[in-house]
Amino acid sequence: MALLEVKNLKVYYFTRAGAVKAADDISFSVDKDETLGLIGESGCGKTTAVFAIMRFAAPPGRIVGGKIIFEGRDILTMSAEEVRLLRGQGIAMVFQAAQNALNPVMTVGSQITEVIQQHEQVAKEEAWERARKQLELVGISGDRAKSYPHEFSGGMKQRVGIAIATACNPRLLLLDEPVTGLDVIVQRQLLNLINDLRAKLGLPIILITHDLSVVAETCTKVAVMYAGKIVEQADAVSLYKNPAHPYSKLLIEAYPSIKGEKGKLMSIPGAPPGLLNPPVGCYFHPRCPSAMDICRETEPLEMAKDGRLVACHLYR
Amino acid sequence: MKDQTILKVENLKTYFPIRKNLVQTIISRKVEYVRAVDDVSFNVGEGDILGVVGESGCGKSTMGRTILRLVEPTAGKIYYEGIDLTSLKRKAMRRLRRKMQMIFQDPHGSLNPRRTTADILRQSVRIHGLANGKDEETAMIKTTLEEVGLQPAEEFWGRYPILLSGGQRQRVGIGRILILQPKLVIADEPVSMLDVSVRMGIIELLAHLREKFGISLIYITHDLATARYICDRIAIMYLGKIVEIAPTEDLLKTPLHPYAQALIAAAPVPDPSVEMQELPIIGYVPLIPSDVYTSCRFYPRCPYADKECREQDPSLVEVGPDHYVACIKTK
Repeated sequence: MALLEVKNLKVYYFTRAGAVKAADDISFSVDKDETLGLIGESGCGKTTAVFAIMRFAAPPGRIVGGKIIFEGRDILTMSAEEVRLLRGQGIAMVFQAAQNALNPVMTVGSQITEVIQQHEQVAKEEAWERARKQLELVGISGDRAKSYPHEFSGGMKQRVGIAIATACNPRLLLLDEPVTGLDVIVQRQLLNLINDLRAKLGLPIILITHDLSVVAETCTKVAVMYAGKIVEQADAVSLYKNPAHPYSKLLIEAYPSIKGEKGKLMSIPGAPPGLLNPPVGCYFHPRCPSAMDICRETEPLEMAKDGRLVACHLYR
Repeated sequence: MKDQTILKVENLKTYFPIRKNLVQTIISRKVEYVRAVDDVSFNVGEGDILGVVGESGCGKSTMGRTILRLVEPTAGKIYYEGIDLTSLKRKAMRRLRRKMQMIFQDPHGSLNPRRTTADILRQSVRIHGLANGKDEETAMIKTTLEEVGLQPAEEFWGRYPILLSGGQRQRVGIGRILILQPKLVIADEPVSMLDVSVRMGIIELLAHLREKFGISLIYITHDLATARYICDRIAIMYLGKIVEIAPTEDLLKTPLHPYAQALIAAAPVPDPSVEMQELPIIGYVPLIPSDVYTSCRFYPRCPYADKECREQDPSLVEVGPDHYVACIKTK
């Protein structure tokens, strides 16, 4: 059995205009030694889906259905206290823009100690010692534990975010856009760190990003999301080599690279649909170059094809 | 590069004073500066696209703003079609600005949320008094909207920014300046806040505007990959200096400055079967860089640095056709 299994997860936002289906019938799993990349354009529901794993749903959002089975237990049926203990210790998350997620009036050392003391009965000195070790783990000198967040650069703050998240040795780490907004060199150093952590701590990771290269450099498995649904799931190498869903294909073609020959410029025409009134049939059909009549009528179901899952009428 | 030079920047410097507390001010009278742009010179030809690439804090945005005199230069000259901008009075500068425009990074923050698309464009027309009468104004707005890909214009006419996607908002931002028929546009990270799937659409639009209207462009970015697709030449900046400037493919194939090499090595590759290389760079951009002003800016992070690099500040030297590098090791 997989470490984490998400089955038919549904998270809807109940607005005055109607229900926005931000995550609609999503299923995926993560096993030990795996890094799953969740990729998609902004507003496709990737953050909503991952928040649900920690049983977070910002009002007016509600988890309305499905199962999230972590180490054999359904997170959605746990008591509030069990969920509190699970967050941080079982599953930890580094939020998007860690720059702003840190408390500006606390030293980074005390922010790490705070997490440790919330979850474990340890003396303050011991917690502080562990905080220093955590900083060293992410490549920051332990002496900087007494510094405030504003004394760090963007990339280092992101490292502090990872140090906080891994302080209680979680069994699953969720990273939301860990390198977005950082410079290429800093981004690369951070991706190296993420790969190191997985190797050193054996930590399974779910990584949310809209950047294909981030997934390429860190993930073993990829799930492509579009308008609240997963349209394709495959291992990273075969998805990049041979994308099945037209959306995955266009995403990969739209990604510019500085290596190799300069290809033709590509962009995906149009914009993702509003989730209040999504199109009938396949949600991608208005932008899809290979749309057929059936795509405008019936929604494609996820089906297995060559060891991957894809939701497209092309493969019926 | 084409023969006609439209912009010439000579020894441009923009320094910002570092504010200190009262005690420090009394003890030492000396004012210290952050040298955001330090002795930068380059040309842009008519219809040319120059990319300026560097990490955050390298001074690339300040440089762009200084060229339009949105930030006043500390020293140096900026010539636009032979006119020295640094000596112009405010009023004359304002008249010229119609020809020199800027596209901003954040399409969500740079549009007035209480104005419709048409209002935003109309404002540009009115400020510069470009139209005779309402009909001409309306026609101008309509053609511009269609030119930037907001078709049909009627559909976008009355929309507020909140009803537009990120890519569409950036198109409005481009339309707002295109309607002025500028000759030089400074695009400050125009696509870095957009989704990868729409980035290329905006890049294509910029390339199209150059083809159709002969607009010269300074494309400021931290992303070499998008720069590759539209720039004729690329300048790499580090801590206020241009360390290498060369034709695009030339620079990407044979980068000579160690910093350019590091930037290219760090560029992400969207292919999981490619192994990540070791980065030929040490540490981070210094937060207070004042201690490297008399040496090569890059030496604390450079894998090849030696004593010589600490002693002198290299300037740009021509090493090939149109290829300039500021590194004593390449001589």
